[in-house]
Amino acid sequence: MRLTTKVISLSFLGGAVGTWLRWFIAEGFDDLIINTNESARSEQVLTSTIVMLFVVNLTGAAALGFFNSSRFFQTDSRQAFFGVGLAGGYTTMSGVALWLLVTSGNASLFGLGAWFNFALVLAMFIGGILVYRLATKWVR
Amino acid sequence: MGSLALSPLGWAIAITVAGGLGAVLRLLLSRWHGGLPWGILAANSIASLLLGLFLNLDHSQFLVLSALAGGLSTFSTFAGQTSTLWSAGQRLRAAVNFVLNFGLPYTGVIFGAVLSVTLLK
Repeated sequence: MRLTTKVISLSFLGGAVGTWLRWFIAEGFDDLIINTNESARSEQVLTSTIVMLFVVNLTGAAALGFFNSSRFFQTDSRQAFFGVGLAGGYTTMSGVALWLLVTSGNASLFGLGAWFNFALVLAMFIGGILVYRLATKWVR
Repeated sequence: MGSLALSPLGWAIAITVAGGLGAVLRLLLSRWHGGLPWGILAANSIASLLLGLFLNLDHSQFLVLSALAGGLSTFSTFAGQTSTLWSAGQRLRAAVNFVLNFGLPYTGVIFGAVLSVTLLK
């Protein structure tokens, strides 16, 4: 992909839309938290966050598989907007790292211990690669 | 630092602009290729480091920073690049990319948080 003003602008726009979409979904998950007890609420926040991260990262990986395989998206402009911007901005790795940091001090999440949090992230990584591959095969 | 006073529309704009800027920074970094897609690994690690470093910001400022970090980091490109390496028969590189993208962002966020606590002392 050549680095032109158009490619940079479309990456910016796609990234803005993707980030906004992720924020919108995160807000939706926040609205599901109903417990007012501080301790229970804290666990609900951590739980809803990892569910949200699974949703955005797996659907985003599938979307990128689709964008990278469909002939319609094989131009620099469309790759910049949909691939680099939209799918890239919609998914997040830093959010996953932050969630791991926060939960590493909270071994009681799901009552299963801190190792379970690492297993969840590992499952997300493997799942993301699998859904990307499935999406590329589905398009072809 | 005081909190940012923005209208709901102002928030939406700040978050989307931050995300867009993050995506452009990632685009620039992604041009760094070698045996592995180092640019994306760097983007993911830097974004995580930033989140850890500024963990003590107030909620509103942290929201904008997390939008920048979210736009800079990416999960989908990591999944795509690892899958492509695997399909191309470069399985060791795919495995190393997998492990590094698991370990370095996590190390980055811890390092950032520790650095933040140390600097605030």
